[in-house]
Amino acid sequence: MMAAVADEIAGVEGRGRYRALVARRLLMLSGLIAALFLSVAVDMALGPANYPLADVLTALFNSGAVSDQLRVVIWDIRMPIALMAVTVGASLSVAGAQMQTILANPLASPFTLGISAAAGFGAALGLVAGVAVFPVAVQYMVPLNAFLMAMLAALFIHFASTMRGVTVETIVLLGIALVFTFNAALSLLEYLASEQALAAVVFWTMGSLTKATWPKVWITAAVLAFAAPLFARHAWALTALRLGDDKAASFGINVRRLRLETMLIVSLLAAIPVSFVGTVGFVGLVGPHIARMLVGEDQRFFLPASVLCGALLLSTTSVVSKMIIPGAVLPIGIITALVGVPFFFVLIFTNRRRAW
Amino acid sequence: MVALRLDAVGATYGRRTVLSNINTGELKGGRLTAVIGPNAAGKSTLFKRIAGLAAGPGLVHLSDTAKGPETICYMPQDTGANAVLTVYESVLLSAKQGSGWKVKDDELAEIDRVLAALRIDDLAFRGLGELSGGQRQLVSIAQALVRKPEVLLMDEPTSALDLFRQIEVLGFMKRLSAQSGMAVLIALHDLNHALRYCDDTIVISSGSVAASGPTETVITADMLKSVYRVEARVEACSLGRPVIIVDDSIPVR
Repeated sequence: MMAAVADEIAGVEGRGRYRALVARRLLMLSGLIAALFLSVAVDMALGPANYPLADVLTALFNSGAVSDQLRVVIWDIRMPIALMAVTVGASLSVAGAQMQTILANPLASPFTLGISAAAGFGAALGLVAGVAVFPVAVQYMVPLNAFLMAMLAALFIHFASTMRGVTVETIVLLGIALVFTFNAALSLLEYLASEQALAAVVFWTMGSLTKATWPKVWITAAVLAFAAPLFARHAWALTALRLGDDKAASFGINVRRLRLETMLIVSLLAAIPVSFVGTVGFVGLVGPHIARMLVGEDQRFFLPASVLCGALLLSTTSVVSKMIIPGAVLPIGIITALVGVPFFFVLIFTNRRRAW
Repeated sequence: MVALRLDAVGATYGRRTVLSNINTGELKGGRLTAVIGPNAAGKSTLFKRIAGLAAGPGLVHLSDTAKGPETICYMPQDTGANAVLTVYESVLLSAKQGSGWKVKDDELAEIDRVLAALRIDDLAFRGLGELSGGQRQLVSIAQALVRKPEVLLMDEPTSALDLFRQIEVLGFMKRLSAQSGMAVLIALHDLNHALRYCDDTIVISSGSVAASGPTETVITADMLKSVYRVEARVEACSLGRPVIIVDDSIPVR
């Protein structure tokens, strides 16, 4: 159709440059995968006893060739923690990425919508008052409380956003209101708590990977594996959402439905990790921003990059948390920002392109 | 060739009626139709209603030869996107909606052609956030054209463009519609542009049609007085083309 008109003017070939851009991005993703693999291996090498990286790799790929002790330490003790860092970081980062996308707000993250704050309150309810939101065996009470409160907050936001006249800005404001409400409720519980319970709540809200077990790793990984293809299927539509609602609708996208569907999946992605490892801030906010600066916002690259950046961020954080005080593992929630912020600053100040 | 006809079309936002009883004759492919009217008359809403993006009574008839309702493409007014995408990616995005991840060479070739035709190929790898309002408007046109619509509804496509670009874009659309048989409806504020480039004109005022038909019969001194509240003459210039000469506005009583 355009050929005849376009023939008037000789155009520069954009095709080649686009293919080169895609190749650069694939290279970037490969680099992130390699860095993540290295970080996970180092994470498993460090601990009360430090092992050479070569021994760790042998234990991973040829476990018969290493001592039983090393095999147990790597596979049963350190690997769940190292992989929990990966799955939690990835889930929170993707959740943040899609929240930022559907709410058109660079500050959106599992925190902004009050999901983490709700989880913290749910956990405290169990730790301080021994109240189970849903009666189960006592060892699951805290994570289940956290999860149910997080989902409650998410569903509140979800149904609020289906109401007529509720805009994207209103949703963000509602989320912030939830953050304050749950934080106030949490403070009240802390004020009333015994010293022992208070310590438990404070530790929980700092976030720690030491609570990781294989089943928790599998559940988080399964939720991520369920969510990622759903987002991937809508990759073009989600990217188009960033051009504004009117433009996206003009592309034939059912904006309202896409936003609601995404919100539901995001709620699950954000609630599960937080209920297992406690409040891990920052990754959900900054992971997607780093991904955006590296590969842009085409979701075909942005989605995997968000997964990898979040995973890498939390995995390196896990490494650092073991290195600051030898022999001690600091709660990861404390370290996340300390590791991420310098890297984030470097990216902001060296990136020539606008990042939002 | 495609043809579009509106039969008692209305539009509502909740309980508020924005448009009512819009009827048109056949709006044929290969022709440019101007949709004019004062601010907030309902031009954008009419476009959204035709494209199926707004609810309301009445029927939008497409000729049997048309590919289907998705062949109607609405190009919204510029909304100032801040997405971290290059121009090229944003146009690709429009072309690829509803299809798989893989991008074929002929799809990229089409984008190259559209960008070259609009003379924005030099902007292809700039970020959307770095563009001026006028450049964004041209990108928006490119996004609409790669969808290969048979009916294109352009909402004030020239509002942010300089005079040269306005004329270039309108001339381009006129040639394109004549060659491709696309029916193009353009919401315009510059009525001299409507006189110069558009075959037909529909005047929307307070949510209904005030006049419609061949442009020269619609844009008259009487219409300008009753719809726009301006005293004006429509006279032939030295080349014999009609132009509007505005004398005064009519004070609001």
